[in-house]
Amino acid sequence: MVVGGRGVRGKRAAAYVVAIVAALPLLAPEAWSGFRLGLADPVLSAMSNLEQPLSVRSPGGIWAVGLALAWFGLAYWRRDFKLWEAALVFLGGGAALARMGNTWLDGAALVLPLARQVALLKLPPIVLSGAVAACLVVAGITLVQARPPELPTAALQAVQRAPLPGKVLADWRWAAELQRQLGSDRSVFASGGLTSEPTDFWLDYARIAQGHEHWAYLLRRLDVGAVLLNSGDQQQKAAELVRSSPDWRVTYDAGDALVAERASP
Amino acid sequence: MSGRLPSIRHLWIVVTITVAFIGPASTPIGIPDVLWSLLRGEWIADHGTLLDSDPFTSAPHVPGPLVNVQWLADLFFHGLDALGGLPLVITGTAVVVALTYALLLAATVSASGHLRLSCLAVCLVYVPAASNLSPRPQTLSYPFFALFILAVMRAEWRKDTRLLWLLPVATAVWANLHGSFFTGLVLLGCAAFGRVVAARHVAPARPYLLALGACLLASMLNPYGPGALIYVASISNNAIIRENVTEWAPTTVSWHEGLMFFVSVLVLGALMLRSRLRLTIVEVVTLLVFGYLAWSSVRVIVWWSLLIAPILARLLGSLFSNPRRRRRRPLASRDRPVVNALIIAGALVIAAFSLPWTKAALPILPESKRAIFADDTPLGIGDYLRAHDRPAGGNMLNSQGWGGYLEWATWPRHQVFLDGRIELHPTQVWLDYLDIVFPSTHWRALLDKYNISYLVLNSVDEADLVADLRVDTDWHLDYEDDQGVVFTRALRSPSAGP
Repeated sequence: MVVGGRGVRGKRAAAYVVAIVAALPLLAPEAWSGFRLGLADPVLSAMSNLEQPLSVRSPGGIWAVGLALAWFGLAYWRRDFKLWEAALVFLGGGAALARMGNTWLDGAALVLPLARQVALLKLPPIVLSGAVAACLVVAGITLVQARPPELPTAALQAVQRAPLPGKVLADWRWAAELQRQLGSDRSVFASGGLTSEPTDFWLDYARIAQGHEHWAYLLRRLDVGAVLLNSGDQQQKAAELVRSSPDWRVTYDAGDALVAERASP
Repeated sequence: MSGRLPSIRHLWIVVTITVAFIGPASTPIGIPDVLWSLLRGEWIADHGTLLDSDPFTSAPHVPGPLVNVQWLADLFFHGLDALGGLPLVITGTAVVVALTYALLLAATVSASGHLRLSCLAVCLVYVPAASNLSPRPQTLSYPFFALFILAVMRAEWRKDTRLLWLLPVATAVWANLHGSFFTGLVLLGCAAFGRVVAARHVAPARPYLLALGACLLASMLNPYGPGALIYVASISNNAIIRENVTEWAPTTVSWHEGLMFFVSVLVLGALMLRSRLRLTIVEVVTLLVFGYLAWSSVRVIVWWSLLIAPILARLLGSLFSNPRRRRRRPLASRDRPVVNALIIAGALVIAAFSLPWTKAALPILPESKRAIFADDTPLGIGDYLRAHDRPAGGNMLNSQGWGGYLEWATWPRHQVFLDGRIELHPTQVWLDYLDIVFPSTHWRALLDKYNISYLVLNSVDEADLVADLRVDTDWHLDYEDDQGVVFTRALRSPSAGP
């Protein structure tokens, strides 16, 4: 009896391990930017896919739906589920559908229902181990894929050398790190993350990034004295314009980063 | 059968089909597809041959002859238009929609055996599809898909495979109406796969496989042969379409249709968990495949909604049907033929008043639904262009969303730059168009590149470009209303110099 009890507890614990590891890929996307709960934002969506509602194209979107389907399939097949399981799956799924960045909540909500269903399956340890390994691989891949681009040290030094007047406009993914390195002497836009600036700023930010006709005027209006652009990704068009503009002096241009300071007042 | 007519069964059927009819009959034309379809139909009828290039748009086209798999739909709509104008086009579409839901109701009754729950299921699945029932070639393909569902349901639940042999004939017509004919093939593929998995043997799937093969061959009975299938595949994989056309975008809760899709998934899931009924493998496979397709693209939601009706009715049947109660009090005994007749007559009167010719008299209809065209159609700009020749020596650049209406309203006096037929033009044309209306730093150079001499723009969607044009001395504002503007390139005077 004692041995049997231990066996049951062990299998239940293994099921929890599988469920927790299965939920890890859903935590990965926001692991880099901090966990936040919110609704999708049509303007911020242009900058970050975490601000979009969950879709088939979202990073981890198929995994999120796959886990919910896995729970549903097991519950439907066995005809054995509790109402709280369905409620948790519904709440987590609703949160993820409302905003991709909420998938961490979906992952957390799925752990208990999944664990219960996996425990009921009474799978052999080898299968559970295989599932854990597969989920860890997916979590690792998702974590690496969601990793924001690294701020090159040389680009950082180029910004530090830039003359003081004006603010710094940087790729939003570099803004927080840049602000930390520059200290309080200089102000970096969006250093507090996507929610730290109003919608109008992000509309201008997107216009500049995409090479709007009035990009130079918008930078002047924002009182920008230096820019740190991601020239290989979201701000490719802006980087091209800065390179060819006599109003801007490029002080660093390598890899995916471009630093420029205003050449004329 | 009581013998007294009309019975309550007739009442349920008539009300369900009438509801399906009233929606599209009373809704103004909002999706512009039908407008270029009408133009093409007229051109085909006048010239007695298919188009091999597009005369309605001026933007450069992709190389090679035009593939128009909708030529039969173009002729159908043109025929209605020639007989009774746009009101008859709308009414004809509503009849097609009513036929779709009648076939779907038959399929649902075949699967569930419950008439009233089938009617309820059909009315429920109508909701996510309602915004997608406008007059356009795709709508003409819905009855064909409903016929496929009916054939599969008859084969699954009544062991009657006769209708499967009608499907190749249907496919031969469908493949000349709209590129969505592949959805019928997918449905047959799902049914065949489900049967093979369930029986672990190919033999039970033989009727489906034979029908699938015949349908595949029949789909090549069109002017382009296998080219129609290649066209469908190329449309589905066109990056510009998938990135920029709302209808092809992945389904999310931010779209009304997307929200309806996820609600339908939730309702189905809840019913499956609550019901004692076990879905068949065929049903599970079709739900998974069409569910994935609908999640991938907003456009597929309408097919999903049609497909789930029989499953929904079966699930509702297992939850709500009470055989003991039915035995105690037969349905026929509660029939009130006079009341039934009055309700049926009332439904038919409402349907008659929902028609484009009479709907203005319906007090319950909102003001925005009383016209032939939807509110956001640029009628004023269309009138202005119809009354004025195009400026000499240049092309129009138009707001893409207005292309369909403008070409219908003004061709051949004016030729739009592009419309909603994304596949007509190379990717670079679309990237340039997006750069112009954004506007990017080189929008002026791009207007020169395409020899644009006048612009017809939406004041809201292209607000930044309109603001630029207002202060640009090279452009002159010719027309403006609360929807949009027409700018013409100002003629440079000789004294202005080069």
